[in-house]
Amino acid sequence: MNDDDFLDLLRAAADEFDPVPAGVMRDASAALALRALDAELAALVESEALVRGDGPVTLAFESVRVTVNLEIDDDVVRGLVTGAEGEAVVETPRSRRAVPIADGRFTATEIPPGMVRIRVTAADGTPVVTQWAHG
Amino acid sequence: MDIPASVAAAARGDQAAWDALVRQFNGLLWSIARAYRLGDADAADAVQCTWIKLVEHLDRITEPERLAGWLATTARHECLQLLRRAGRLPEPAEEIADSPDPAPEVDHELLVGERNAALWRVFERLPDRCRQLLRVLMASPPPAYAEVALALDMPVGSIGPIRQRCLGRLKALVRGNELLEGRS
Repeated sequence: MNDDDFLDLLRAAADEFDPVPAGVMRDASAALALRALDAELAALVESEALVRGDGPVTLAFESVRVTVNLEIDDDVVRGLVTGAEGEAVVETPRSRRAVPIADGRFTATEIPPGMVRIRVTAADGTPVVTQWAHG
Repeated sequence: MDIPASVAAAARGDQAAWDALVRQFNGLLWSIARAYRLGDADAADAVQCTWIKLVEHLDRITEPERLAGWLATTARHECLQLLRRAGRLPEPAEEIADSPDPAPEVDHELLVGERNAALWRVFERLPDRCRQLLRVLMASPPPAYAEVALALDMPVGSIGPIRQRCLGRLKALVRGNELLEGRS
């Protein structure tokens, strides 16, 4: 049997014993709906995570109008915002949680692990959303 | 599949075009995550992060014909980030010897059950570097060497020779296995 045929056999084995789970297919399909067409993007400009272990991750985002600094510690997300007020919406691919911004700060708890992004409204009313980042 | 056209349509919000991209490349992304030995939850996370990053970049993709390479590279970064955060960076790659290990004794467990199950178990016994390369090559649909190279940060020219050596090793492990012997 040549190598190509042998690899085809292996591919059949992988398809049977380690296929892409249905949930992973659904999440991938659903990702398109996470586009934020309406909002100004605040880009990730700084990211710092402990090399090892479960310590907090700190992230900094900037757009023309807004800056967002985040500290993600397990399931708690703390933010420091300039240029926006009202509420901050902490989004994950499957959840949204709105919390008030007080004196430029907000805290959201019980945020599921994985990717997060923050939506805020700039002082002039422009919606701003941060890039996705890993908590 | 016309990938640039699908990317353009997906960027306009065409869910069917997006799903076509997912069907084309999700197998590769899952295989990459498994090649880095991520468990179910981490592998799902790495794959989802990769697609979400593509969604973020949809309007800014300047070379859509290179999408597969972009996805493979992004998936590698996501996998390494997850491993780093978990405190288990991959071991440095060991040398892959030309001469295969001596064939193991016949494993009677392998004499029962389906061929694919036997093959899968033998595959899992491969040395890490071989297992990693073959796991990506086993993606459905089959990936191009260029994408495999980006997924594993290997020179593209090294993939053919290493593939040959690793398949040789696997064939040596298969030898003596009654269930698989008739087919090799």
